[in-house]
Amino acid sequence: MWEILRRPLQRGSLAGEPATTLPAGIAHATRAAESEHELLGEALREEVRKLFRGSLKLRHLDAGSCNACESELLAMLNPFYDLQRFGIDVVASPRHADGLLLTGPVTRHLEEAVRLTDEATPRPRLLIAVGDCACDGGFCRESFAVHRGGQALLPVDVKIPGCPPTPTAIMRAARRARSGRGARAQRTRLNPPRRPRSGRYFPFAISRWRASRFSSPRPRA
Amino acid sequence: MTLQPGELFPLDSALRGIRERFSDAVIDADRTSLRERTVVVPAERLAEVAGAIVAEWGGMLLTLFALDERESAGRYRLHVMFSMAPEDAILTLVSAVPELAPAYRSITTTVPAAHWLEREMADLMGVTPMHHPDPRPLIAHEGWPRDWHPLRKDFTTGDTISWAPRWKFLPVEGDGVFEIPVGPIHAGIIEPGHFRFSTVGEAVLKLDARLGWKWRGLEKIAEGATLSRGLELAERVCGTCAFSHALAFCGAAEEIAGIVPPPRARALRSMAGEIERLLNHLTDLGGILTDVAYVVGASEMARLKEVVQQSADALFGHRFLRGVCVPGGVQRDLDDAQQLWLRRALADVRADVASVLRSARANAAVMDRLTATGVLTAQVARDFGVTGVAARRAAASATAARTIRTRSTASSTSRWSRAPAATCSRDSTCAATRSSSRST
Repeated sequence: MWEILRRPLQRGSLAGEPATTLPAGIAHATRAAESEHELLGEALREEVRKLFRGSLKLRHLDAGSCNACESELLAMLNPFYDLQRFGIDVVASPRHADGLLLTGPVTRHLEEAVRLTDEATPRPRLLIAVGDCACDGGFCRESFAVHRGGQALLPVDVKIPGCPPTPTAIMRAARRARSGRGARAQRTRLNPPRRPRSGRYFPFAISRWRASRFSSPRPRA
Repeated sequence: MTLQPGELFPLDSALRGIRERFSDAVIDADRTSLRERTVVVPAERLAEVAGAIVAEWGGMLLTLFALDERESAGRYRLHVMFSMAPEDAILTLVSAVPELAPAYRSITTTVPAAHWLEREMADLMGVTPMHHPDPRPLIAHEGWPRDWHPLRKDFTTGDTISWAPRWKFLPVEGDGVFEIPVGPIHAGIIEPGHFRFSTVGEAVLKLDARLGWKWRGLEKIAEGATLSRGLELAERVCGTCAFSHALAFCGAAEEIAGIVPPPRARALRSMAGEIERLLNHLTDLGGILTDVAYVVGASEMARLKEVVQQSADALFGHRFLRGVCVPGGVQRDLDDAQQLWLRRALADVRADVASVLRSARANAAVMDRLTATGVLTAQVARDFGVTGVAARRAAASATAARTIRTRSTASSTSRWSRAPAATCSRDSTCAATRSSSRST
């Protein structure tokens, strides 16, 4: 036991460190911006704090993926990325989850299992499609044996493209989702707009429309 | 391989045996390549010949599939391929199955490794193996009409799919027997599969597995695809063995075109293949340590995997080595400085893995859970065509058991780092390694 603990203790925490750095002078094919995931992670922590009171529990749901996305999701829990630091964790049951991480194009054989897992997740829940297959069917979308991604069956809130998306790309996409297309759905599903304290209730869009209609246009400078 | 005087290579002894014992088998004079031979066998004798190849002449079943030749010749053509290891040779048995009654005598009765392959073929091509010990569908789930065979050339999906259940678990009955269903969705980041355990107390009497949940019909969409599209599909059959599948696809394409890639490309392919193998072994070692709840070791394996994966990314341009292997060669070259750096980085990984395994072996809780769990005997390994680490270990244990009195230690053959090169398709190594842990 001491032997295995000695090295990590000498090394210190790996979280946020790059696993491999090529020394200067050696050509590299690709190189991620160093410690980018650290910055992204800090931003994610803030999101999770605001939206989920600091704890976001997700359930992984494999719907016919090639396991590359699974491998990258597992990598997010390794000592370098260590997603749990930011308050995000993968749990064992949909009953414990705030959301689902869907991978794969949803094969017809798994259709029922995907539906049942989704039904078992308490509302409101977040549906995150990880990888090209889960977003729109990806490379095998023309096959008769698959659906074209999660959106064919369920409302997808956040799409994380990539084949497979790297851990850094997953964090980047999750960060962008707040300001991007998935964000509105995410906000309204998780924090539905409150009724105004006084006066009649109008759905959000209508009240804004009314407001714009009856207010005088702002004079242009 | 060295031969004694008068001894034949396995392929040659198999061919001589077939010539002597099976007079109605025709050995094809037209060699496809030097060490690849085709033997045409009547369908009713297929099981007999296949059994003899495996039991007597040292063949190992590689794969089994059927071709739809109804339009041109009014038949299905069955191919059963054997590897004649240790020589790099392949023996293929070919049989014609008539169009109107597509059935033949199952070879699973003599070659157990054909079990799933024959069930898969029955589902996808509609060629029925008679007397198969377990004729339940493998790929076909509820919703597949009986006459639905996607790999037939005239297959169309049609509009409606009937939903008649066709699958039944084997019942286990008795006093105190409980049936525990698990899956298809499992707890954790892992792929689907439905398992049904029949247990009495802690003892598992039977495990019945239902698979095929993730069937994406890639075989069908690969029909008539271009070379680059084919490569794209091959790399995505199994995400964590992308390079092995790309290598197999490129090898097939090169063989058809009669091309031999340049020596440097072949060397780089071996290198990338070995990195992929290393990644999968690190994953599996981590998996075994996770399953016995040795979290420190599992986390250390996850770290090492990330190190190797980022090295692959930095040198070959992809974390899963996609896009490295293309028909005719490779996309990346490593210069001397890169090679030297990789050698040093892998030496560090090797030392770290050895250190983790030493501490795991010294841990009584780990060894208590692993020792005598899921023992794979040499006979079972041979019957089911187990390859890689698990097969070598099973064979080594059988040898060790015989020679245990004369040797002081018998474990020196299981050093993972000394394992000879092998590229695994179908993830057989990984699956077999997993079977040695207690995980379900």
